Amino acid sequence: MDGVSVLAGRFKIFDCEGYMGKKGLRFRLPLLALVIGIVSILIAACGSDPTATSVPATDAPVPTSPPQVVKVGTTVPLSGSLANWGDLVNVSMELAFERANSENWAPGFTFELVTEDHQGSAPVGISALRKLVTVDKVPVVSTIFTQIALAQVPVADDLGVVLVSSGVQHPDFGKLSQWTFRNASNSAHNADVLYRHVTENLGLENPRYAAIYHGGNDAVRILLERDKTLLATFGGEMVAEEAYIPEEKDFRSLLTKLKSANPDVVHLITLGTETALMLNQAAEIGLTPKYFMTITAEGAEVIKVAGSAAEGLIYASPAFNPENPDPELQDFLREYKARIGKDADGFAAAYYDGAKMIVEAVKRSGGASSQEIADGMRSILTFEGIGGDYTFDPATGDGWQSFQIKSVVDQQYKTVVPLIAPYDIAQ
Amino acid sequence: METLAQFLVNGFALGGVYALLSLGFGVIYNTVRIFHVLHGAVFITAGYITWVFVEHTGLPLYAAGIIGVAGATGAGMLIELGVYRPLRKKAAGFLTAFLASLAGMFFIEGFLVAVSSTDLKVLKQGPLSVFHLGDVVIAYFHIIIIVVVVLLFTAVTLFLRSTQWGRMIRAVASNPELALSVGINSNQVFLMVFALGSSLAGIAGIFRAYDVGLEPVVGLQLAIIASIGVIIGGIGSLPGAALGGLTLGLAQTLVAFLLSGQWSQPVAIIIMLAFIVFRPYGLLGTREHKELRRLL
Repeated sequence: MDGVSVLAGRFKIFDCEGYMGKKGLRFRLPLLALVIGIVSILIAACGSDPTATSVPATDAPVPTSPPQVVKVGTTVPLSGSLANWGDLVNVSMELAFERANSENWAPGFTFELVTEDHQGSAPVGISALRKLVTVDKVPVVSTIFTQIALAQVPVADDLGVVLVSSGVQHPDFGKLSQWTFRNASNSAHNADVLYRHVTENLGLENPRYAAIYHGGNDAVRILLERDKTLLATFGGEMVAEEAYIPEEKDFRSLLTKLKSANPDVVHLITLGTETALMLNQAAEIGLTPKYFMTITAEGAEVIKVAGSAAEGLIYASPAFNPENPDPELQDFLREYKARIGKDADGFAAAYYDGAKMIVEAVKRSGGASSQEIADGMRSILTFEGIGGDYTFDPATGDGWQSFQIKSVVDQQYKTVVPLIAPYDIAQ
Repeated sequence: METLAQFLVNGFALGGVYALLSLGFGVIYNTVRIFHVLHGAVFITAGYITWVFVEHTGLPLYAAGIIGVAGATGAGMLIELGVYRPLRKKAAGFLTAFLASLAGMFFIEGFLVAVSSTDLKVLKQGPLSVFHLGDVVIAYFHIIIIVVVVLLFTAVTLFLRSTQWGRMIRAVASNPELALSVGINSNQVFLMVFALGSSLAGIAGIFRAYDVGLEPVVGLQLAIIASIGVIIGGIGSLPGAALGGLTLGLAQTLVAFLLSGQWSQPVAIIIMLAFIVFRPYGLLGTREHKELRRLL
């Protein structure tokens, strides 16, 4: 859509020159300035800062001060191939803030979401973050996608703004800056547990591993390095590593190459429906090892696209249980589906919880500056959300979300190893 | 050896869709001389229409596919009537038409994202049915793609050579002014060309949606693929367009075999640049086609 805007802008400029000419411009410019002046005065008169402290008249009754509006920014993809994730984040956070406002979770504060489109691109993500902080004056920003979040960290550091993610599983995200916080599972920890599961529960001795990964971002490289460490711990060898570009949808060549390496287990570092397409195309060529993923497969509608080819896929999933009768969770599931037309998954629940934690941080610190929110976030050591339990490292702000190992069994997502808490990983 | 054979099979399947897309692009470009980026949007439109009918009305795939191709044909004709013809009336140049096409492409992508989300739309669930030829696995659907491409290529060639409309299209493509002087209505010819090229793109779009699914944002990428196919094959040559698309599919597959899947898209651009520099008239282009190329 940016291209359209740019083109539209160009045509408009040409039109002005063509239709007005120099005389026209001379006549219209003062008129335009007058209109802009009047509009500016009206905006200034009507758009006074709702958070400004008013000075009451001496003998007038003192009005109850209005709640302070806390603007919370989000940088999400609203256009491009990842736009669906933007809806997921926005709807989840909106529901949390609506509930926070109506139930007065943080007395004296109301919360408002301000969204910027990062189009799935790191440079755009940086611009979006700068705009939110410098123009919209938000003290805290939620973000999504590792490569974008990592690019935003130095900027958040410079601007002194809190950067939160409920989806970035990069092992070090929360440790990168005093301003970064995370309530998501840690992909490296997930890999630890999955390798242990493959070794101990699937009965494979020294299996031949392979990895398929998208792009080559920092988080992927860390996971590939982690694979090597885990192989040394649990046994086995890495026989093939194959990369693909995110736009690719025909993986048959890559899979044919992988098949010739004859792996027993394939680590899929993949996103979205690419996973489902890979499983389909692998089944076609008879490549049927065990597959595992360190992130959830549920949001990607794997079963819908891959059908029987998804059978046996193992993945780490947030400890999110939609069957839990908790009224807050059930309200969230109902309202999420009403707005977006889909069932919420653990990822959506994590963003609801992330928004809820921002509210909690404001409540604890009693203020809504970036520093106060950061202090409030740091004071949260455990948090019970609708998406599971979270534990935070007070020194770094890095958080772990409890998770579970699930698998596709009989065309359904089934829990294989329930509720793995951070303390299990530490052991 | 079996692995190489498997790569060739995969390459023909991918190249078949590219060939159809390039053939449609070539039919339009050779006659109208417009860099029709919206060809990618027409390609997506067919897949989306088919998906909507299969998913929401329960219509059988073949019936929904016919509606999808009809939709693509209509979309192509609407683009000619609503975008390119008004621009021609204003004597707009090649660049203006290209920018209008590009803007239209962005608009349609944005529209599809807004109304239907960016979820991948796949016309089937699960893997394709396959058979084995020794150690090589071949999907029946890929055989269908290759057969349909060959049949459509033959049909288009016969249509252009043996029918009155075909002769009129060739006349306008060869010399528009002369064609006009003998009473050929170029507007009607252009409309026919858009219908023909768009129906080919539509069929390719449905093949793609069935094989690996469709997203709204792949249109521009595939329009570029189509144009690269035309350049490789030789601008002005329809057999060249089909051969160019097929060659591109094979090249991308082989590069994934020899290097990595990450190189499959850059290699398309490298091949195009190599042809532009070292063999500007493409694989099957002639001196006459070389003259045509100047118009690009």
